[in-house]
Amino acid sequence: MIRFDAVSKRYSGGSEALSAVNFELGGGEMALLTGHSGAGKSTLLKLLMVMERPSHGALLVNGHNIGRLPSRQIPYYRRQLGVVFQDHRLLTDRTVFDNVALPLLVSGVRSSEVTKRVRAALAAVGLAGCEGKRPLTLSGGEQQRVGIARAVVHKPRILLADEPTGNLDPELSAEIMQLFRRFQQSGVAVLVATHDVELTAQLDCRILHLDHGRLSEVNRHE
Amino acid sequence: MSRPTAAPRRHQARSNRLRGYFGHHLASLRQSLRRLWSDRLQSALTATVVAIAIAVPAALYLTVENVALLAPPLQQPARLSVYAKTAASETQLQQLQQQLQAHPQVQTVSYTSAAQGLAQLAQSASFAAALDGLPSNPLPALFELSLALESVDGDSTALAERLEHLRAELQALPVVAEVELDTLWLQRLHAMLRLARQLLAAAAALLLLGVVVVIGNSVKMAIEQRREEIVVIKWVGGTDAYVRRPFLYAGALYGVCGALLALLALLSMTAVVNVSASELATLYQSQFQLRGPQWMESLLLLLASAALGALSAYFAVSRQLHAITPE
Repeated sequence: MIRFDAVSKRYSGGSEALSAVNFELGGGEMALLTGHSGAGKSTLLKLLMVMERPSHGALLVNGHNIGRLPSRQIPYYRRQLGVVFQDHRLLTDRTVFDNVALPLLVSGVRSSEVTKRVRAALAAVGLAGCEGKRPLTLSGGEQQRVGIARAVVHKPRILLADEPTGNLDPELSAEIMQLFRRFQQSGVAVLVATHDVELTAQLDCRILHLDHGRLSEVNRHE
Repeated sequence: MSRPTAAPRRHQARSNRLRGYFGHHLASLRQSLRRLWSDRLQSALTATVVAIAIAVPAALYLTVENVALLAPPLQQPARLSVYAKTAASETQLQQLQQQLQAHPQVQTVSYTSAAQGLAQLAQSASFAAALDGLPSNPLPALFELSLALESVDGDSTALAERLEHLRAELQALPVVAEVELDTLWLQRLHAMLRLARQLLAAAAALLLLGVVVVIGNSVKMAIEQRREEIVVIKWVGGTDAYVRRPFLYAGALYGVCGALLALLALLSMTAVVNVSASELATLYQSQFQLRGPQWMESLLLLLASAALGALSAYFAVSRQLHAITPE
């Protein structure tokens, strides 16, 4: 599903954020992307979200080189992604329902279908009945779950999360990661960028480690 | 049950996309109305400025149209008076009459000799005594021409040019002393009205440019207020057209509200001025009534303002949208 083929990214300032990165992530697979701040985690996610383009190499998603995706096709590509942010990025002047419904509305899904799918997504993250609430009236963990519901409501093939547990306590972090595991089990490719060492130790999944732009896969059995 | 074939599935998908597309248009319109209402003061100010910019050229337009109503239409067919030189002999005058009658642009020729002219003048009691004292008849022979020239579809410019051309041609004849265009003053009035219309068009263009700037600025402010939302919409796969749509409706609504206010002002002004205009017309035994904006003109104004508002919003959004990228 996702394939990085010798992908490098050099910013105009001259620094190389990613250096010849190679890895594959299939549907129904989950990987944690670890590394210190500035290691290149965000750059790698930005390449997948087509916010940045690779300087070298090929980045293939479902066989298409998204590094060369024409600008006008980017929105349609992004509809295949679900993205979870550390700071949730919820619209505070909208209800929970409106926030979660957004990916469906931009895709032109019928309103009756929108209602059904938003309720199902909120139920999946344990927030059934919170449709009419405003995000600011919810706790940090609940807000993050609203963000996850928004990321999965349109049944994406790929779920990307950038430090999704950064502001949460360990118990809530574990809950959020369990949610990701459930989406992985339903066939979604899940890539979670995190520097939470405890979290990586708890989860039994692939760990991709970035260090100064170089990617290596951690072998847990070593 | 058999599985649906590819064609009906494609049809269904297309139909769903269309339904979603029109659904979003409706939702965008509702959203824009809600936002205009929630920011009532700012919306009212913008609509008022738009209304002023629309009302000024519209009022000037109505003024010109009302003056045009007062001006009598150009005489049809047009007429020319040809005065012969007083020294012209009878033979020369007869030749001139034949020449005029043979002219392709002349319909009829009515001849009044110098003696007939003097006799007509003498019938006026106030001139009779003065004429008796004259040593000779000072009046020229007169040929009144009814021309085969008419304006086409009210195009008085072309008619005026042809009349002027004919006048110059007749003036050049050796026996002719002077050619007088009877409708010259009217031609001048119509020319002035034409000039007024052109000046009005220029003023309207400038003021409408103001409308574009005002609506563009309001939309730009609205975009800044909703920057965060636009970023999220782009994250989740919203196209530029999707982001742009509510702003286009907002621009169109500013235009419509401005035009409605302008129409209201014009109708009120016409009603107020009409009272004085009617009193004045009565003094001249006239039934003249000022005309306000007509139904068709009002509809056109509303549509044009909506289109202008949407266009202003389009330019404002397009310029800013590229600057807003997810980070």
